[in-house]
Amino acid sequence: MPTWQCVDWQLNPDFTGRNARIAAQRNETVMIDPLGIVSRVSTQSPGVARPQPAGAADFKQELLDELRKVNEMQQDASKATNDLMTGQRDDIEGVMIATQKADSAFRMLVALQNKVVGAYDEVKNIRV
Amino acid sequence: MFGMLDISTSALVAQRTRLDAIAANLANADVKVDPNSPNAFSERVVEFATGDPESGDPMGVHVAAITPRKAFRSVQAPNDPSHDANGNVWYPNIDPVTQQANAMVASRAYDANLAAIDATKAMFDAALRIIA
Repeated sequence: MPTWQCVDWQLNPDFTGRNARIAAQRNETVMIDPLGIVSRVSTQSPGVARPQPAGAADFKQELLDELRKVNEMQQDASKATNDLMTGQRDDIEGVMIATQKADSAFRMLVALQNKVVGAYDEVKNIRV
Repeated sequence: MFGMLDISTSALVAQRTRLDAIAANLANADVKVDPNSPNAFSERVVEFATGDPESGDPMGVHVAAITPRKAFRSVQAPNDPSHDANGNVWYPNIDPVTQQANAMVASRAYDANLAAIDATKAMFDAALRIIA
């Protein structure tokens, strides 16, 4: 009977063994990771920077440097305001400009952060 | 990135220093002085020079020197106890009207530099709107 033969084909140890061999011959990582995204990431040891085109700055490093600069500006502005209030300096212009610089730099950083978070959301909403 | 703010700030400080000197001139216009004394008050003249030593910006401005003009005027006042041998009392030769005009110039220059700072801020905000 055709139906019996079909079940027999599936349960036949010879045929199941052949299926297993075919599966073994295939690259498993290709099956579970058809685009190679996972294997490409996992084959790199952690902490090793990705190869970059020459002259391209590391985005993370740039961002950290920027954060440090903005932090310094805010500390400068805070110290300048304190010095003005306690009478240790009298140039109100310099204090106001230090405050303005810190404010502008911080708003720049916030805009950058919103942009990065927006990009992350964009990627997150991609249907897979 | 904020170089133009430093330039305008140096100009603000310089103009305020000039206004300080003008205020001192006006305040001391009627003070009796001894013209032979090296410490006698006379009109303070503020000189500017290019370059801001504080921020190291070559395009800024700073006060190079505040020099006394060493000009005095005498008033015949024999009854004044502080008159000299010729019956004259000496004052610094400060013209309050000229000082007022100088004060207006300094004040307007201060305003102009504030406007430059505002323009810089507006430019920065406009640039920020590109990504924000």
